[in-house]
Formats: sequence, C-alpha cells, structure tokens
Amino acid sequence: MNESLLQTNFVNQKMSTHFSYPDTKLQELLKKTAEAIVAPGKGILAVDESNEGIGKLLAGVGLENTEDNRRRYRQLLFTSDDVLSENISAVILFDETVYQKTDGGVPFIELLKSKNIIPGIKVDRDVVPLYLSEDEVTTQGLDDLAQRCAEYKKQGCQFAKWRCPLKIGDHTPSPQAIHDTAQVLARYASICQSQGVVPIVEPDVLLDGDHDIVRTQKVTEVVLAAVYKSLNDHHVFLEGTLLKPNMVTPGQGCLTRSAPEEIAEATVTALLRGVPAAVPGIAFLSGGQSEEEATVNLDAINKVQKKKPWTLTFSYGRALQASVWKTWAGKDENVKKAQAELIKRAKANGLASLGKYDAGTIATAAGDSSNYSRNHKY
Amino acid sequence: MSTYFQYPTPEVQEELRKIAQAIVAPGKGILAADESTGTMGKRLQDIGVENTEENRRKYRQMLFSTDPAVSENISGVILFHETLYQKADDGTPLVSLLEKRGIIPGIKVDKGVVPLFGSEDECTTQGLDDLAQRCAQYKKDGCHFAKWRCVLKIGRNTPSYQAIMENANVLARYASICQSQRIVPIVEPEVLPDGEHDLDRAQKVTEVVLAAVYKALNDHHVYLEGTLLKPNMVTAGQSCKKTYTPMDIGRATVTALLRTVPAAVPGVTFLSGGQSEEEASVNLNAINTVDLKRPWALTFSYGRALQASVLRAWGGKPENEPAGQQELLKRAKANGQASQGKYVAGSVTGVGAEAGLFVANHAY
Repeated sequence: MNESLLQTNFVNQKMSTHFSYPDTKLQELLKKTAEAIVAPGKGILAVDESNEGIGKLLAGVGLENTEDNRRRYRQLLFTSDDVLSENISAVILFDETVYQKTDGGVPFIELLKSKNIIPGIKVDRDVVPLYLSEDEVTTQGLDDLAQRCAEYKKQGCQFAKWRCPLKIGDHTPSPQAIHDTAQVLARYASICQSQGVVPIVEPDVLLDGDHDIVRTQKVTEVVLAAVYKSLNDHHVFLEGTLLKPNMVTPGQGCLTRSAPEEIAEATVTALLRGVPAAVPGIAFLSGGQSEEEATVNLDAINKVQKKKPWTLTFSYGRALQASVWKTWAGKDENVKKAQAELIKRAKANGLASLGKYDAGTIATAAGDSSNYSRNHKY
Repeated sequence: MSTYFQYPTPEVQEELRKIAQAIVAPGKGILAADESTGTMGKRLQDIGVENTEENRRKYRQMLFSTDPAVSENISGVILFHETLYQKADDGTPLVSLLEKRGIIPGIKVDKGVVPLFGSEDECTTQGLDDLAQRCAQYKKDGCHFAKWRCVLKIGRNTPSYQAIMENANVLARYASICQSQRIVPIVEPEVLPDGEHDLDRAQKVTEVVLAAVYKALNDHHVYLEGTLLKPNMVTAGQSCKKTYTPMDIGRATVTALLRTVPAAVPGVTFLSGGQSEEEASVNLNAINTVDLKRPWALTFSYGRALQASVLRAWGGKPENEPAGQQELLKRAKANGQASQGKYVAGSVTGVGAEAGLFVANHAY
C-alpha cells in the first residue's frame, strides 16, 4: 500500500473506540472535586488576573504594580470573614499567588483551605494570533502542562482553568478558530485529568460587537458542540470537568437590549443543545457585565422554566470585585469595608445560583457599573 | 462549522416539539411494526404462515384493531410503506385505525443498508434520494414521524472512523430533510449486539458513535427538541462469556447517554435488538431506576420484543386474533410500566416471552 494512504488512514483514526476510562479512584476524585465546586448556593471567585491585567486595576487606585501590592490585594480577599465560604466554594489563582503568604506568614493556599475554599489555578499562557486569520487567536500553554499540573497539585490546587476567547464578527469565529479552540481545550482537559486536577473548560464567546442575541446563541451552540465533540475525541471524563461559558446576550454594541428572561431562555436553550448532562456544573463568566447585571442574569437563568440537568452557578472575576476595588481604593483603613462588599456580592450570587435573588436587594458600591472593556486582557 | 444558519420557524418548532413529546408521553412508547417484506416473511415463516400481501395485511390489521386501551401504553406505531396504503376488511385505511385510537402513525423511510467499499464488511444506509418529496407525501397521508436505521458492528477494528462518520452524516441529512417537511425524525444509530466484546467496550463504542451523531446533527442544524433517539441499550456482545445484571446494563446505558445526548432531546426510545420480551422490559426498567440523572424520557420502540408472543398466539388463524391482541396489550402494559421504573420482573408472561430473539447480523 502506498505511503501516503497509510498516513491518511492513521491520521483518520481520530474516532477510536479503543481507549481507557480513568481508573475508578481517579474518577471518584475528579467527580467529588467538581461537585464540591458547584455545591448548592456556591460559586467561584476568579482572582487569576495576569500581572498586566491586575496592573491596570492597581493603577486605578493609585498603586504601583508591584508583587507586594498584588499580594496585599489578594490578602484582602482571602482574609475576609469565614462566612465568605457559604457562597464561595473555590478560588482561581494566578501562578504567583500560589506561592504568596499573608503578612503573618500564612500561605494563601493554607488560609483558603482552612476556610474550606478549594484553590484552583489558571494554567493557560495567554493568547497568540492565528496567522492569516481575521485577528483571531488561540491560547497557548500546553508545553510541560502535565509537570506544571503535578506541581500545582502538590502545592494544593485541585482544579485548573483555561480560557479560549472567540470573537463574533462578519466572518468570525471561523472554522479554523473554533476547531483549534476545541482541540486545545480538550488537550488541556485531558492533561489536567491525568494529574488528578479538575479542568474548568472556558470557551468565551466575547461580548464585543453589535450582533444580536440570536447570533450569539447560534455561535455559542456551534462552539459548544465543537468543544464537546473534541472532549469526546480525547476521552475526557466529563463527570470530572466543569464548563465556564459566556451567557447568551446581545453584543455590547447592539442597540436592542435583552431582558434577563430573554438572556436566560437563550442561554439555557444553547446549553441544553450543546452540553451533555454528564457535566456536573456550569459556572458562567461575567464578561463585561456589571455586578448587578451578572447577578440578575444568573438568577433569571436559574428561574427559567426549562430542564436544567447541571448546576448553574457563577465564576466571576470583575463582577465580584468591582465594588471591592472601589471601596478599598488602595487604603489599609478600607480593608474591612471592602471585604464586606465581597461578602455581600458573594451572597447575592449565591442566592442567584438558587434562583432566589430579588433584583436590587443587595446594593454594592459599583453594582451598576459596566465592567466592559474592548478586547479585554485578563 | 457555519455560525450562519436559520432555526426552523416558531410554528415548525412547535409542531415538531409537540409531536416528539407526545410520542414519549409518560408511560408510553412505540410499537415498531415496520418490518420490510423480507423480514416480515421470516416472522411469518416461523409460525408457518405464507408471506403474502394479504397475510401481512391481516397481521397488521389485527395489531391495529386491538382494544383502544392499548393507546395507554402505545403512543406511536412505525409503519412500513406498504402498510400505510393497506385497508382493513371494511375498506377503511389501516392508518385510520391508529388515528382513531389517538396513536400517531410514523413511517420507516430508509432504503436498507449498502456496503462501504473497502471497509471490513461495514455499511451505510441509503434512501436520501427524493426523501423530501417522499416525506411530504407521507405527511399528507397521515405520518408525523419517521425512522431511519443505521447499523454499526463491533469488531477488532470496527466500527471504523469511515463507518462512524458516514452513518452520522447520513442520519443528519435524513433528520434535516424530515424536519423540512414537518416530520419528526427518529434517529437510530444501532450498535449491534453481535460479538464477544464485554460491556465496557460496548459502552465506549456507543459513546463514540453517539458523540459523532450529535456533532453531525449540530453541523446540519437539526432542531434537537423536535427529534427522538432510538439507540441500542449498552449490553455485552451476544457471545460474551461474562454475564451482567440488568442494573449493570442500566448504569452503562444511562452513563453513555449522559455523556453524549444533549438534554434538548425530549426522549430516547430504545430498540430491543435480540433481547427477549422479558429481558427488554426488565432492562428498560433498570434504565429507569438506576441512580443517575435522566433528563430525557427513556422508553421503548420495540418490534420483536412487543410482537413475539403476539405472533405465537395468533399463528395465522382468525379465531386466534383476540388472543394475539391480548398478548400485545399485556406486553405494551409491561413496557409502559418499565418506562416508569415500575415493572416487576416476571409479572407479565407471554407465550413467547422468554425466547431469545437474537438473529446474527440482523437486517430489517
């Protein structure tokens, strides 16, 4: 048989029916961890801003972007009253934060564990362009990922997160971008599980653009279908993963706005069509939504009268911290007040994840300010 | 992967959704009476009856004139083309016997399997030519759903990538065309029970196949809420030396579905494969009692497992028609209970209930 035919046949063995499931103990570990992260009334606090990303926030309160200032800010969050863990099950950290300590010398990870909050880690290494595409990107970070996961696991991290952004435009997201996103997320997820780490899979269809909610829904459906086909191809154990998707909303620049009920209907419909029920939970990203919007929309999602075979909760960064930043303003004397804002916002979102939040009942300092920025860099 | 496409209009969405939901209404399932002429011939031969059009007509007439109580457990019947145009003794169309009982008529639209050249004895299913026009006509003639069966076989190197891709694609084209004519497509990717493989391998193959099917349905913009799935249960191969309990089967089956079948699909109507009537009921019951999420209805679309006792009791004799109909009522009720997780093993016996119905390389 000629060489190239042999090659083709080999390459085309993508859908193998010969593979292993993870062994029972690993399945149980991954499953338990995933389920603990999406326990009823709880969600994730995402504090995995890159140094560049948090640098902008520090500048906003007149602080220099130093390691110690970044440490001080995260310390503020993690030394909040224990009541925080009633609504925060887990925290996503950035690499540097894993190794930092409080003023008193207590490692942040130890502190979180003592509060029954599960530490996790952002493992992607940011976006790079897809050459010749219309400004589309992929996310890198697979090199040595297994060793990195093993090390983070040793340090106490039990889950990881990897974000792939996709942008809606006239010709985007292209099949190339969708395919690559799905592939890279599946490789990441597979590697995580090999090291006993639960992968949170984040295909983020960005808010940027003036497209309407129907287009967002279609794009989200196509992207999710590609992601889950790829996870299947790579034999990822779905029961030991979580999904962190965008909600389905109109683009930031769309003139027709949508009520929370419309967003809820479109979001849950897209998920029902694209996310297998074996996935234990879905923890939404907030994108550029304001704190209150993100809470009200999550609440509407949990109230909508449709099948909901996964937990639907939050994994918020900006939508949990905007008021914290505003209140702290970089000053030590404001720490307690800023922590109170975090606890309030966490409670609001905890209620929303149960469909029990009444809009406007929990007011925070920056509750209604948009957190949108074009081409947002974390 | 186009992100530019249309959803069906709200009216079409509603029509398809309502039909699909009615078919999987609580306690109900499908009677698959769509045996092709050749296959029906084998059934009749087994009970010493000649394979004539008249005998096939008399047999289906008996089935459809069963006491209306049968519609408590039978929501739909899949017909073969010939049957759709046959009439009862008094001249009324057989299909109107169903309509009078509130049972939805459906139609087998595939045109059988053909080999995939170069593969290891694998096949695809044909019938896409003029399918839209055929569906339009079937809809006019009273059919509201259709069925198309694809077949995959587990072997050392099969099912191959080629077979999985091709069958997933053909099912998606079929489903898309049906919906364009307001017919609900039942999608049937059957992984055959032939072979010595164990339960674990059956589960893996089923997962890979279903993932491919649903990716293809997504690629072709099929409206999932207006479809049904007719899969195999996950069981070990017919010649596997290891034995498994109904709960093992229930667990493996529901796990595979949870990993691959979007909850937007309203219901899953299992095929019975070569299982006996009793096995098919007991396994369906286990599927409905296993301790796992079940975001779709899980019910039956049985051919052999609803008709084995019927055929045996009838034996081709007019005086035995009531007995044949009684067997159908009994077995429909048993499976209706199983679809609710309320069937007690052994509580419903028929004259052919235990007989294994496995036929190697079964072709319909």
